[in-house]
Amino acid sequence: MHTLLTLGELLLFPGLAYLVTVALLLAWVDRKALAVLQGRVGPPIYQPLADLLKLLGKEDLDTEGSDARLAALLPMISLACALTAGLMTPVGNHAVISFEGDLMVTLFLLSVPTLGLFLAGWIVPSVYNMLGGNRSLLQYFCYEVPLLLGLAGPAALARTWRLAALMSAQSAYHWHVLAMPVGFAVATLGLIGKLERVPLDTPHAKAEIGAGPLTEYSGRKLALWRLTAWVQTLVGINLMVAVYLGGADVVWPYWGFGVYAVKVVGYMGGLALVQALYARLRVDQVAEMSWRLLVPLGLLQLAVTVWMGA
Amino acid sequence: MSRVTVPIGPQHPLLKEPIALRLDVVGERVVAAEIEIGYVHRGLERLLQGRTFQQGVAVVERICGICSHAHTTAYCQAVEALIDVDLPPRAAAIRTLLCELERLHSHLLWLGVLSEAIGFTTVFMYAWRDREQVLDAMELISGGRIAHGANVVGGVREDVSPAQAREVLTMLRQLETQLGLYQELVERDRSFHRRTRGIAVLSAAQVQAYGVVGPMARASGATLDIRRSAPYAAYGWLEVPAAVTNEGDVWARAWTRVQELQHSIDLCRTLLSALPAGPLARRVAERVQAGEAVSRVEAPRGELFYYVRSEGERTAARVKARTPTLPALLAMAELLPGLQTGDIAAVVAGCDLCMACADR
Amino acid sequence: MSERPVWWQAVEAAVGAPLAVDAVGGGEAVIDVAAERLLATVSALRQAWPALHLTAITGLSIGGEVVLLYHLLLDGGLTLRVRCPGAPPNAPSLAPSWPAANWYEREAHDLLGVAFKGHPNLAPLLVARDWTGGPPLLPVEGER
Repeated sequence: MHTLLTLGELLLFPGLAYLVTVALLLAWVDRKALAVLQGRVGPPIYQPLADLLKLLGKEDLDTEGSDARLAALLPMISLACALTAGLMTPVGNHAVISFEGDLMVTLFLLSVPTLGLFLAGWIVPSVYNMLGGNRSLLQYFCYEVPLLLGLAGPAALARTWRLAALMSAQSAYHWHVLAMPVGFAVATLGLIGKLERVPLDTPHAKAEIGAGPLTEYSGRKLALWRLTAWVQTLVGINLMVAVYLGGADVVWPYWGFGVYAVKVVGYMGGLALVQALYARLRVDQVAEMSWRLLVPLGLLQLAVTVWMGA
Repeated sequence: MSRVTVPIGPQHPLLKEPIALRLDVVGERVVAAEIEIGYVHRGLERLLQGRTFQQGVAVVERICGICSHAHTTAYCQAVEALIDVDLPPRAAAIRTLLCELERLHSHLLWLGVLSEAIGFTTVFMYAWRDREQVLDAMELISGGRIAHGANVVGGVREDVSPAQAREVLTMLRQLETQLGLYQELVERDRSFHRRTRGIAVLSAAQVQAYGVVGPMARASGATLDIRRSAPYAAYGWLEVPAAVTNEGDVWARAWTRVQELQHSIDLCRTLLSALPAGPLARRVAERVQAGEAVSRVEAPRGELFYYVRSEGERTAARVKARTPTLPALLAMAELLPGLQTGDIAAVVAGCDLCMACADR
Repeated sequence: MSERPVWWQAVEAAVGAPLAVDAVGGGEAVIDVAAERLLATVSALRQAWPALHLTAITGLSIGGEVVLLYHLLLDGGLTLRVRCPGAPPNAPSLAPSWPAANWYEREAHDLLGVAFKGHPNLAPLLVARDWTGGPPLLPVEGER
């Protein structure tokens, strides 16, 4: 019975089926919000699903000179890691897997798709893929540290690296974002870099290098990469909601899931707003912003938190 | 670091029209650039030989999908100079009105293309949405959004009724409200500045050396504007302000164009408020006396030049067009080396290339 | 012309002969320049008029002879008319001293087969690289 329940959790809720469905819905929220902000109509709600199914049915080409097995394996590993990370981030009040240090493991698992993307670009003998892959990796070195610093603040305050504990530390509206707005901003920008969204989307700046590391990919592989990106978005937002926005606020236990859902959609809308408001940064500008601005700010926030908490 | 060649074009998301850029890149820096054009060469100058002078209007209109009216204006002007016919005032005013509307839609299109190139999709969407209004206004007047067929040798074919004038004025008022947004973008938006300031600076000496014209030259301090230096059509009655700045970077090109948007709106207003009465076109003979004529107009992208030669027959002996994109391409080849790969898009889009014009 | 334009003296000195000026429709002056005096004339003009602008180079084929028109712009328009002798027709290249002429000369080479002496790169600009039909604007046998 217990095994069956666990299997259900893994495959249905809040596991695979739930994560994929919500990731697709969230992709729609993202596109629709951006469309509304830009004065457009935007896609219908089933559009991300339709895109995914269409891509899955398309001819899957292997680029000459690339390692076909590795090319097929990379998106699978990346998607698996993103989904596993999804199991550790709380959905509503509940995460499938929860242990001390799950925040770190989640972050690590979220980094795997980036490395996969770099490799995916690197194994294809095309300049766009190569440049895009290089930029992915370069950007990884820029956002990872701010993201970590941004998330370390609340962890230091609550003296735990466990997401569930971080959430309960924020009960009764003691949201970390109120105590540490700077850390929240730094972590958000780090997340934008991780998700490769405007203004930090140089790895696939279409006007320069086409689709970047994914330029030569098609069919199922591209579909899996897309899905990975959407799941990553959902997991990243879950993480931010849990660490900074109080998660499913336990003040109203029965409304927990609704509160959590509103926060996730709201945060997604915020990311869409950022996308609408800014132009893409150049690679050197990304590095400069990250190391000259975000890292010092993140360190400062952390130092203040530790000093206050001591 | 190794040197790789990044091919941009003839098909590439950055490009709206085919052109091949071969960029040698070391790391993230361009070290050499080579440009190849001719992908949409249709032999239109050859086609124009042996067509009657009136048929020629339809051919030159199809040289370009953006500045089609500028092409017919320049061509008709040259033929009109050959037959020595003067333009009726109402025809001159309507021709000029369409020229300025075309400048509005061309500059808005450019702003959109540049914004998309630097990943600023919101401005792209806004600019192209506003451009639609201008296209609607041109359609209202001429029946065509892109190919207007409004010019004929000796005048224009399309009249502007008072009701149409009112509608265009309403459109201009709406556009002017939107324009405030673009002015703010160019003057204040830091995100926009980061991607356009100090990039691909074209000096005044380079403008002279490469013969660069239009807003790109005016962004580098050159004052050449055919509307001011040699007024044609109705520009003689109008006050065309100069939009000149000295920075010479991509930002300056945007600034110049946004200023010109405002100027064009003002010029359209002036024309619409006092359209002279009179005939729309003079009747001209099909046979044109032998001779040669040149004509220059200020197309949205700069000086557009036409040379027309007649040997006294019904058909043209030679028609030559020099479009503003050619010198822009020459200058661009010089601007590309030394850039970061991330700036290529902004620079290429910023040069406002029209390959159909360049290749003919 | 009652009043001599500003460029008159400089051009006359460079051309080395009294100027005969035609006017074309559009109100621009045309001067005949011998092919071998072209470079000297243009450089004299550029010295006298630093903002001189090269608008275009038009190639014509008139009665089997190729004529090049160099359309300049200073205050008003000024056109230099150069007859190109020889088969294939040839002319000195402006491109080394004035890059603006580079592609206009390539175009004239494409369309009329003019060989510009001293041009850095006369590769096809507009016509396809594998085009074998000869310059498109030159009259073909049996066709007018």
